[in-house]
Amino acid sequence: MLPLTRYHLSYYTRSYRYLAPLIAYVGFLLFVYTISPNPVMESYAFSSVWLYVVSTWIVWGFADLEPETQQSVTALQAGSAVAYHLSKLLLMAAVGMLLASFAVLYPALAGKLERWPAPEEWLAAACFHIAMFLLGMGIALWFTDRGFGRTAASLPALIGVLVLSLASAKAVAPLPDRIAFIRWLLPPAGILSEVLTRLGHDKAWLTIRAFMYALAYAVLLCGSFVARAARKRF
Amino acid sequence: MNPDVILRLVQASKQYKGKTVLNRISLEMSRGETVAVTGPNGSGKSTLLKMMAGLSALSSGKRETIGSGEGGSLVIGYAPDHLPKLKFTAREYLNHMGALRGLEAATRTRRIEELLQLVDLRDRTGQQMRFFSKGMLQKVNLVQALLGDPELLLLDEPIGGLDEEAQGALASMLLSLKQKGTAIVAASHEKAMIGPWAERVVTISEGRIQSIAATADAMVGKRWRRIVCQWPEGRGEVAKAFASWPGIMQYRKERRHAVYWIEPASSDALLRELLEAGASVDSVTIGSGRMV
Repeated sequence: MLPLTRYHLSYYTRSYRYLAPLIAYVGFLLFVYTISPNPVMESYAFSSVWLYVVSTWIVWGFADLEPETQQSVTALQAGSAVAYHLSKLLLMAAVGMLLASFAVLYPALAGKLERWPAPEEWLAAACFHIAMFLLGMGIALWFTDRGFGRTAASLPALIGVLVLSLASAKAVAPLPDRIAFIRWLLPPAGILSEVLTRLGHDKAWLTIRAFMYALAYAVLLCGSFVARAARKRF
Repeated sequence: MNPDVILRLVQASKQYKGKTVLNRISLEMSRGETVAVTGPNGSGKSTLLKMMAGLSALSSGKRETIGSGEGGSLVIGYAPDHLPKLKFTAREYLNHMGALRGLEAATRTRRIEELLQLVDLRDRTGQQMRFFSKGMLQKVNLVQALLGDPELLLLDEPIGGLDEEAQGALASMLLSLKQKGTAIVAASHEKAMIGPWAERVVTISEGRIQSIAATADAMVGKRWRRIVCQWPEGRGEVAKAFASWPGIMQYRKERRHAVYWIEPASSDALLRELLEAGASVDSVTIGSGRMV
């Protein structure tokens, strides 16, 4: 798996596809934090939403980067289509960890927050940022060649899903209470953001439940994508 | 399975977006056997190679392999039609591919240099593959396919972009690999590719095997049985399907007759199957050498 991940990293860095989303991500956070002090959890909730959006941008740009002919050669050399797809996801997850670390550490270390975060706030911020990245990754994968296929409608559809998932509370508000549960069927990005903002006000188990649910949702999206992509082969 | 057989496709079909790309293909590859696959563009040659490599999922049928790799897996080298222009130098790229194969750093460096010398790649230091000519890319393509010392080598349009000198070098390389015991399948729409190295020529058209014939060189001293039979009206497809029966050396349609040349060891089984399938056998002839 390591040689595969190293190869994908080498391929990705030489493509410069990372440059635009990386500049946008870091640049926007630096810009936002030019005004300080900021409330702790609201700031983290905001940066996690931004990471969610950027993660789909990064993964959507990376997933089909390698030409299809080369994909088949790489997978054959590696001896497994599952390993091929999994290694790509691992690389993206590693990128996500770095971006999440920046979002969590920078405002605190640079004194942009109104106070130093408490240990549980650090932990929740880190976990929720990672969950947001994985969730964005899982969604973006399904709008690529090996997911539903890449067509002219893919990008608008992906943006539509992002908006709907972030604004899920407003989207289900007009619906009768008995079917309001469908909010939980949508990618829980909006839920994560709300729970993170309310950290300390809600019971701890509600926070853990939201995190675990988002994680399971992301793993399901990524896992089923790998299974489908490997079954279809090249 | 015959101990020499390393790969077998049984009634393998591939459908893509509602279209049948390959239809009930049966084919066997034995250790050291060399096969040329010919047919017009779009006939299904590339898909057949991908299917043999295990890179294309079958819509129906079976693919069986047995090899000397880890856990009895078959070590396959695959050179697709046109390697893309990548932002790697040839050595960087081949180093990555060798690492994926699990070759140790020292071994892969030695192997890469040996193979690059063999194909005579004349690149400049630091020149990335995106600046390579078609011929240079094809040489890198061949090297990556040979890196893992494959038992089965699958080459899709291998002479594309190669000059005459390089084509000659490729033919000698294939011959030496064949002598080493590597099974080789090369797909090409150019008849020139068949050359002296191929033992069998599989002609494919519209996703079906139209004929399987042994080349003249491969037939010297070889014994065969020639079975001539008639099929009832409307059984043309069944007659053609028998062309890929194990052991078939050649198949031809002659007016109302279907003629099969087969290895003696498989002739009884074929006769039984033909009769059971409704064919009427007219004659069985014993012979050797050129199939007439």
